Amino acid sequence: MELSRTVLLGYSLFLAVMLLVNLLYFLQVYKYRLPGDASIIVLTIHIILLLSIIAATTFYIGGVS
Amino acid sequence: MPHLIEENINADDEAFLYLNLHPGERILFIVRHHWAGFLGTLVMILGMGLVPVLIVMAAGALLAQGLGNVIPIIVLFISGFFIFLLTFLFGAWINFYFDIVFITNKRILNVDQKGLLARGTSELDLRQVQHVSAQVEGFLQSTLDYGTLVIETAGAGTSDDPTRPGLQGYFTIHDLPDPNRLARTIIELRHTLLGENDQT
Repeated sequence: MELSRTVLLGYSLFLAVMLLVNLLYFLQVYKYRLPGDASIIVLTIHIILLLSIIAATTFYIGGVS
Repeated sequence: MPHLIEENINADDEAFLYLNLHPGERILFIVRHHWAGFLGTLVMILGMGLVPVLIVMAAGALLAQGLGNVIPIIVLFISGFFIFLLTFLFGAWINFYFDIVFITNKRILNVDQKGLLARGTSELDLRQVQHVSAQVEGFLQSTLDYGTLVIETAGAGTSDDPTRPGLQGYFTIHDLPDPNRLARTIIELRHTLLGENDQT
């Protein structure tokens, strides 16, 4: 089954909102991090996990569309 | 727990500028909340992460009935759900990790991260400290050595403890590591600041 344009548009909008929220979180971490704390490490892990999910989903959508 | 209570801090780093330290003021300790205080949130989020497993099991049943057409939509839903969950977890972690207590040679600064763009800082002059108590309650707190620090002040406090009302304020800070050591340190710093050290 191909994914309809409406479903893909809804997913894209959701993704845009989530990425905006994450961007605000990134800025907050960058602003308030202290020397030697764990925030950059956790931020990196978070970005890797997010990108993995987005990449896997994109790969899947490319396969079925 | 040296990673939760930092000492020997170089306060000249620009990361500390937002604290607006007074001339001659030095940061002696940076205290982060104990990780056990984050366990409840973590368990809840991990529990929510099990929801997609149930969905996949339901999808398996649908597939067996020949309704495999909905699988791509389910995949998108699960993907969106995990992105939401990761973002929620990261936000909760920021709220937890950026709640920091700074103990200087003159003040106690309690930085309270409140969500995405809100952040509160309450400060207490060490000379206003009347009494400090440490409360370690329950199996987890006793085992992992963390608890609540209650600082009674001569001025206004920021108490969130309804059992401690009154004109005098109470600084109540939850989930701090080694609260007994912190209580003792605060009293010693107050004595040093008031020049009472040599009189005892």
